[in-house]
Amino acid sequence: MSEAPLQLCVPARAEYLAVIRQALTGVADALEFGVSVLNDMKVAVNEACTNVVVHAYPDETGTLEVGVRPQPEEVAVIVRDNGVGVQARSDPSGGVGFLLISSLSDRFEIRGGGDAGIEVRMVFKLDATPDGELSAIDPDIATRAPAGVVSAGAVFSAVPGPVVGPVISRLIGALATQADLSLDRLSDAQLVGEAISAHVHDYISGDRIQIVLEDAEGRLDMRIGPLAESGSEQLRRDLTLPGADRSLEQLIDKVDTEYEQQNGAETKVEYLRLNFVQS
Amino acid sequence: MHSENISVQHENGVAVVLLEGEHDVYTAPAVTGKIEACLSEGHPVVVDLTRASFIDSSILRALIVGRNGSQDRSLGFAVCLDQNEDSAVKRVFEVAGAQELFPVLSTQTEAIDAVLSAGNGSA
Repeated sequence: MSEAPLQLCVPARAEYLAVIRQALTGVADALEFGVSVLNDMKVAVNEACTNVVVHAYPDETGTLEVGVRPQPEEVAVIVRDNGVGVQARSDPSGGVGFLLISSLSDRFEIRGGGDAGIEVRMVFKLDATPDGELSAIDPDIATRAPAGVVSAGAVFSAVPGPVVGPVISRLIGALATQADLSLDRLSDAQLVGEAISAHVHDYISGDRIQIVLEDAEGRLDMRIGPLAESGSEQLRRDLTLPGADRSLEQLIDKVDTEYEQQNGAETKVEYLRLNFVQS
Repeated sequence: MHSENISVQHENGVAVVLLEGEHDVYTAPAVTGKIEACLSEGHPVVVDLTRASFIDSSILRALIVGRNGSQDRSLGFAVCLDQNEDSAVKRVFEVAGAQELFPVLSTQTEAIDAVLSAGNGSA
């Protein structure tokens, strides 16, 4: 079993639905699929996520996980939670939510039961393809534990590739808006996020990037890693604009490197932590 | 996704509840509240979705609650939305069959006219 190539974990709260829709828009930006596919995807995924927000965690806070597997002809999206089972839930829209999921996705399935939470798996074709038997939804995705948990913000985990930058840019935009950062500070954070996305694959330790974005009133924090030894320093060097003496680091209020031991004490990895504050 | 994306204007005695940007279960309670407040004041209501870029089933539910409230008070109720083929809002209306639930017009002016011409309680 493996994680989806792109995975997003947010608190299961209504204000994060817009953040998820922005992440899907970032996927569409990168893959250049049409607005009609994106619109259908956003509505269907939003309905699955709304069910989680409204019903999955009646007595506690919990997380909402969205996995995305882009492929040349279709995109699979999995919405997953660890809340109450399917029998304890009803569609808050009186059935319209699942009507929208079934109508707007090309195929979908619901997995789970008992108290194990549920998964809603949806596939969206990127182009009109000839009719034929639909293949099963790949079971080998989004089946691991959430990539991380934050009380306010998003944990984005991905295999390096061209989709990472656009998704990060959209996530930063959505969370900076939520944090009430000015457009200037939002733009600063997006510039830095895009630059980091362009270079981070050279320095990661392991095969996935994890970017944690935490928002609070008037501030946005980013944590990027795990990075190989001296990866943080190298990444900061890559923030220097080509042919100029200026570095994008000037746009960041605070830059730190954190260290963490992995695999017992055998491996030391680094995380680059950035803070953007509304002045 | 802030409350300032829901506003109310009055036109010829009709309350126009204008939704801009994206609306979902986060803003649905505010949408329901605005519609209910207008009906409580005795105004027929037009919900203008022409500037909304996204709605979900919870907003459809808010519209149905508003329609029911208008019928209880014998006040008019109508919706207007962008009829462009690429409109995500129109797509949701079509798939959910929401056009059968209340009058759906293309512009705010048409929706206000529909509410006024129908008199009390029918639009």
